[in-house]
Amino acid sequence: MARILVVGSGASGVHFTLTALRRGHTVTMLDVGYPRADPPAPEATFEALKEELEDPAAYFLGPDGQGVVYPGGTSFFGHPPSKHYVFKHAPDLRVRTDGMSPLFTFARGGFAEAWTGGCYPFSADDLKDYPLTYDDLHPHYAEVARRIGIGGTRDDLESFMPFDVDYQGSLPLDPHSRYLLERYAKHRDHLHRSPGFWLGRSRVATLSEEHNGRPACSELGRCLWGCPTQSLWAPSVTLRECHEFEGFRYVSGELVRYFEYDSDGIVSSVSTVPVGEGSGVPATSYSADAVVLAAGTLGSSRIVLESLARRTGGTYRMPGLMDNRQVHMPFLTPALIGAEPNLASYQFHHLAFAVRSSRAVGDVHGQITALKSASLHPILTAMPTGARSALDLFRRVRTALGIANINLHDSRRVESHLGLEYDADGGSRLVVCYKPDHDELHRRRMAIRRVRRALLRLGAVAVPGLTRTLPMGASVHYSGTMPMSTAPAGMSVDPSCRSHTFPNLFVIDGSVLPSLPAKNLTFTLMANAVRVATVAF
Amino acid sequence: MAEWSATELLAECDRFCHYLIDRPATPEIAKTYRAGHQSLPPGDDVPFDSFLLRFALGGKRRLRLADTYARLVRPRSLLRRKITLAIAVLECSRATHGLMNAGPTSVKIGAGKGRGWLPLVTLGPSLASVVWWTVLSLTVLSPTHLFLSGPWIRRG
Repeated sequence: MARILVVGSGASGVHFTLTALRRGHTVTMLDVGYPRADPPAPEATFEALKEELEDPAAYFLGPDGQGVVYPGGTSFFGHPPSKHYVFKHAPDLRVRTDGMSPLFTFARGGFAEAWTGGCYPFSADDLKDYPLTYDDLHPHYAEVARRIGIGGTRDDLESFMPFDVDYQGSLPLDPHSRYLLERYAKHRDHLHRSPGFWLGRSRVATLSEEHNGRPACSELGRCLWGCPTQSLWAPSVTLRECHEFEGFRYVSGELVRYFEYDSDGIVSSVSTVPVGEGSGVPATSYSADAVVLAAGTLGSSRIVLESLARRTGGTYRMPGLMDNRQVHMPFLTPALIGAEPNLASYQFHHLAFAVRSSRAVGDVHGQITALKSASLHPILTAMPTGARSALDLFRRVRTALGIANINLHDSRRVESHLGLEYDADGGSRLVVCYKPDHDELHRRRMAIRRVRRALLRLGAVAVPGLTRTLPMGASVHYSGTMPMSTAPAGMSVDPSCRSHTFPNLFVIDGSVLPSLPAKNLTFTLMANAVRVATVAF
Repeated sequence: MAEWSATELLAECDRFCHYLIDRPATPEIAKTYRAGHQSLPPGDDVPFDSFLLRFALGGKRRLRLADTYARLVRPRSLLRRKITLAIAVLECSRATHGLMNAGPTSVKIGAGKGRGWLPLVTLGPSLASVVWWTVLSLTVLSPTHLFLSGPWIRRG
């Protein structure tokens, strides 16, 4: 049985670990691990919480209003204070960015502690650049679905997202989403022909029925602030399962800086420093038979870059950094104007869509979220009129508002890369450079045009002037710097995600994706992590 | 925070509350509004922005004019940042969140009744009001904005 060091507690790290523990291995997980605070009044609805809390503003906005979303941002919602732990920076990490505004996480559970739960398996077309087939991943998608519980419905989206694992039923539809789906059923053939638009139910890791001790979604309307009942799966749920194994040890408060390796590339130890205690603190070393990097693309790549630089004194680049460009398109459905809002409702998306491209990899995917409970101030201040008029208007149209979140695919390019540079004090700095694909603007315009046309056919109109292209980095689907390949090339890994350079080093996060379809990648990362733990250990 | 006295902040918070929900600020709202100024982001404030804030605090109609103008022409001005904070506070306050989240007060057309685009007509009065305030604010405040943006104004 192997002794394994896992770096990071995100979605891929916890699923790898649980599989490895079940197979009898011992696992030490190294993590910065900023913890989530217990949610207050877990039974209260979004509105009831404002009555029950002693200081509701401190919870919803932060003690000094840090959670207020001021004009000038690109998003219609910010990260609420209850999620700040997810995006809190490690103080010892220096970063320089060019062309991208990446987010970092050092939270216990990683970025998926703040996700919206979209679970979309990659199709055979999506995997055509991979040294894997859909059949290689399928049993592991099924295993992840069994573990976390995913709601879904067999519908038109099946041709884009295979529907062949055990899904729970979908959550009950909100009236706005139901209206759009009914319109879609009526105009389906026309929408398929032009603009090539398919609509269906989101597949989400939110329970519609009790599962492994977690309750079904009780529609409290608090999703954005963190599901208080954990009906929406987050890595901390699976991390708790890992703690039930004797062979598991969780070490938090440690930032992994680098690993040491011998002349054959065998990793002998991993060095960590306690978070926030400056550069003078001596590093702690951990050794194991195998090291598994699951710190996210930026985190894992930084560790490899720093390890190489320490050993050789050279500087290295990792080309191929990818992320999904996202566009937010607010829309209004006139038939819903004047309807009463229901704030105690599942807050995230009920619908997903796909826009067919002539090239399969060019398909566009997205999700549609009808407005229910939310922070109002970013919406009111985005409306093209003064706040009083905006509030009057908003009250009438609230239930008719929604947002389409459009994702574009990405591919590996040399110009988009990660690197490392050194400051005068000898400290290292991660360099994140991103340059969009030459045809991204064209693809984005085409996608916007086609989604806008589809919405019109569904009886909704995109609100003029409010469609926003989010800055690169906003989707947090970073990937591609250590891609899977059958032949060694740069810092690549083999199809079992074993490094071609370091024989006992494995990488299981987004770094290993050779291309990035326009989908949420988390389900695939989790399935791949289970696959690696199964085939390589 | 040091730029504004507690009295000034209380007065402007009260103005914003009357403007947005026709109610005075409660002590809880005023306290949260004041605390929120610690995180008020800095802006590229120009002389006109100071004028706009002073003008806005002169009365409810002036505030509506200034806010409408600022949304269109100076969306990141100090006035808009403060109004954003006020909305955020009101939607979280125990006393006012219900008002902010209140449903429509007039015609109610149920979801999915197949009325298509017809309900857009019910927005007519609201949209007319938006147009009215927009035209009025541009007419009243553009000349001052132009004047205060001229090279004869000392900045800094």
